[in-house]
Amino acid sequence: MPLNVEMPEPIEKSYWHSPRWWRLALKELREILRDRRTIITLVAMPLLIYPLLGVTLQKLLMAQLTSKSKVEYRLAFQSHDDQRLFRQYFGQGHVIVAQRTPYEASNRTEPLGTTEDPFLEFVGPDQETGNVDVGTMISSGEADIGIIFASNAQRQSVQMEILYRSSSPFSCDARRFVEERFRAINEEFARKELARVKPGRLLPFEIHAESLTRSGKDHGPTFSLATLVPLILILMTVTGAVYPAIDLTAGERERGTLEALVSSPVPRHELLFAKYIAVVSVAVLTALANLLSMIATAYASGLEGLLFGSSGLSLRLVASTLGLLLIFAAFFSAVILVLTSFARSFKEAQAYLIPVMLVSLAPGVICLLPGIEFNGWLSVIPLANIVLLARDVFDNRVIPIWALATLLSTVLYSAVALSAAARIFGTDAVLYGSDGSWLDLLRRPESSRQQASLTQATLGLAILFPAFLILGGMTSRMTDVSIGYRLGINAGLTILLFAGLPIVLAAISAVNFRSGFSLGGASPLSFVAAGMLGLSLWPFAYELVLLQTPDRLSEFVKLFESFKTQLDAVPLAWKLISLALVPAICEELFFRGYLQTAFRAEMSTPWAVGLSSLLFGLFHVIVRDALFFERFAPTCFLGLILGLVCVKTGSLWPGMLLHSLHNGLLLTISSYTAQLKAMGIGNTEQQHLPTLWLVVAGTVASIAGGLLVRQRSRTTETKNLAL
Amino acid sequence: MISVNELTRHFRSNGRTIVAVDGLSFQVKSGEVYGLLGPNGAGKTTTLRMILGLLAPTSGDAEVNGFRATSQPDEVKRRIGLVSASSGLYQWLTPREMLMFFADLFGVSPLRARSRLDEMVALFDLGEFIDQRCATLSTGQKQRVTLARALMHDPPVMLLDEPTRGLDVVGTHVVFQYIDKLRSLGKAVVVSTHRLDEASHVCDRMGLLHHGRLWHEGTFAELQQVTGCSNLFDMFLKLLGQKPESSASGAEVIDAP
Repeated sequence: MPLNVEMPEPIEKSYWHSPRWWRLALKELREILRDRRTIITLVAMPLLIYPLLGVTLQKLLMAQLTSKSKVEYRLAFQSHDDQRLFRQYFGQGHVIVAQRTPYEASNRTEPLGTTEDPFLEFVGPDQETGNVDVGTMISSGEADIGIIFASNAQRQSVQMEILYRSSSPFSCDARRFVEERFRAINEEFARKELARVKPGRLLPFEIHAESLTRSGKDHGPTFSLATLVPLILILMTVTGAVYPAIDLTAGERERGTLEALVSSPVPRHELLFAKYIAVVSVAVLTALANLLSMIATAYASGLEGLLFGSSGLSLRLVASTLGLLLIFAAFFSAVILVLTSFARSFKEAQAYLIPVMLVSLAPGVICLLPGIEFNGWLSVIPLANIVLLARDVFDNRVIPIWALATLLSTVLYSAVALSAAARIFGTDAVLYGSDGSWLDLLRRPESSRQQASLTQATLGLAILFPAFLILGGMTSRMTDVSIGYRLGINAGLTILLFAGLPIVLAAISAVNFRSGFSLGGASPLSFVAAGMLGLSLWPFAYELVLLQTPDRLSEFVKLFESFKTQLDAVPLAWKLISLALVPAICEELFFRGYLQTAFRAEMSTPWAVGLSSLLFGLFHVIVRDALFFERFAPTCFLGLILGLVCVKTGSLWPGMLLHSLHNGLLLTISSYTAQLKAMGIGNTEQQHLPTLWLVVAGTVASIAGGLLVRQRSRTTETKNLAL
Repeated sequence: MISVNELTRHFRSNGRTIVAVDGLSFQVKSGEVYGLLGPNGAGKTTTLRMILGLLAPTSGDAEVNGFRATSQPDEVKRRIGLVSASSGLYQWLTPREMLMFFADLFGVSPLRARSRLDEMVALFDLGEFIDQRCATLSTGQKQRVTLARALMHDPPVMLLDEPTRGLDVVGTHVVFQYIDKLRSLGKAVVVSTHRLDEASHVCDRMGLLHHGRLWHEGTFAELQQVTGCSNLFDMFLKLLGQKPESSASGAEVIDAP
């Protein structure tokens, strides 16, 4: 029966001022923030929990301190002279403090729970040698505080440095006790000086307090309450995210509003994204409320040194912590939305979430154990990486490469989880309870796809990145294996990760290899142009490397030279295969073939090329266990050229030729540096290439570019193929 | 306005294939109310969901104003208003916020949405509780908000899935008035129901659905003539007495190969 076709009537366009996803998110937020259950998690819990915890902790510390018959502070001095000077003035300060009025006395800082004056025990310097390393004694716990005096002849005053451990409440109390007495001398002096006709003399003591960190000394990390703080904040962020996530997905289905929602002409992924924004917002608001309440409690109870690590409480620390919590909230919200989107009721969602939450908290709790060091493995384990990074932020000893790995891997995991949630949310399996299961996510589609979806591309990245980091790190530590074998292992890993992984993912998702990896043929002219670019781009990449600062350049050269020395023992052919040909082919398969082709189906070509180049650049920044951001610009530049070549020729093959020639040429040049130095290139005086070389390279590259521009863009052709 | 052509849907359950809708075809014109009648499990709701593009048919297709539900689901959704007995309201929003939200979802401009809201307030007498939280509304008030929600974007096609389920006499009367209003507005309306008294009261034409297959279609008079029964109740009893002969002749369970 022929269908009765009518002309569709024009549909009215909307003229709202903000993007639709944001308006949807605002509606979700409005709804969730009016719910009193959210308010309880967001406001009531932080307001109650931290003061209660603070009081409990304070009582605990008091109980510990009052159990001693008398508080005893151990003081270490640099010399006998320092000790004598201390004795001379301390008594004076102590008398001033004792004579203060009740109002002034309210600011006194005796240790918690004591009313009697504490004993002072002098544990250094050594009676025989008269010398002592005050810093070591403080960090090892042999003394509570260390005091170093230095006379300032110019200012006619004495510099007083107090060393202490901010992670120890006892050490902090000792510092306050001593510092207050010497400040009292200064204040008394200032009072008398102001009463003089011609005041002008400077204060007798310039007091500085310095906190010693565990990492700064020989002793390994020990457990402190500061390690617990990130985990508590993470737990509270989780609590904040759980209820909105359930309510906005499974709850909506249960209430019967989900059907009306998915009956609207708004893509399901946009509806889910709005819900995701709402869940992340509530989670971050909960984190902020908890952080502020924790800070207020810590400040009021004098526990900030104990809770906020060696650097103490600062704006930088608060901002960093909040940033980490935002990233964690973004990750965790995406994960729980996967689970709650699949649930058909509130109870079912809770049943899914409870075991997952318990299991997922395990890595965070394990990270509380003393002696756990942040490394490549841990930087890609969800939750553990955030807890460890937060711990290092608190201790002021962040290692940039692991911080970057944490951020990147968390963002990738979030993207994968969100894509999975978007595939599940509002499907008929959830909406109407038809026969669907988790396996639907992994089921091979019946009809083949022209390219990988954005979800599959993100999944590829999320698997590749941690695997690349961990396996790459392992091979760089194989020092007992010969360099030739190591190159072979590296090449094998490159094939496994950059070629094997996308091929397996494409096979699982029924992606057509020819279109999904842009493996179609290209004209001979495309190969000529790509070859010319492959031979002419290296001078520009070289000049881009020279843009870095001299220090970084010498560091880079040092790393390169040590590697080059090892490589000298390897035949050039093997070097070219393992370091030029294999990476070029495999990286092209992954970045331009798998990723860029998938991106182009979802976004405009400039965005797709830009994004794949950016990722290409980021992967090249990681060199062994270090970050070389200087490699980012030249690699991105190369990635852009390769991406454009792929778009213009509609094929991956010319790009593979370009990439192989580029890598091979750089490798060959590095094998003949002695000859180049003889020509005056590469010396300290003449680091830049001769202008003539750059002009020639520029001309060749321009001709090649011209040839490519004349090529018909294969964009339309590819899109037609996709239909 | 609505054209359903050989629509079929299979579900898989416990390794077996269930035919929920089997080669269903019918058409509904503008200003016509079509009743999709059948006992529970006849495939009425599944049919409506396929027309709306929420469920993909196993084969066949449905068209709304020339747009195919399988290939252009968003264009189809834009032109349909859905009223379902299982629809709920956002408890923490007011009817005003909720109606404006749905207008936005369907691409109605803010100016037009405000004007539509005023029309809906007048049509369904929502003024008294328009700024009250939905959680505090009575059942009747909630029903009126649900009916208004489906009309906010002024769709040319309306699908009503068991619209009177769980309603009292007053609520049912409101729905009857609503359907009459939709007819007078020239909308193509499909009402799915198992309440035969209602169907004969409001529908211009009816299709009797059983085991996913359309057994009889026509006006009430035509159905009387074809079935030889004087009322819909007898027609149904006669229909329920008939069993499907094969997979081609009605909904049934097919063992998986």
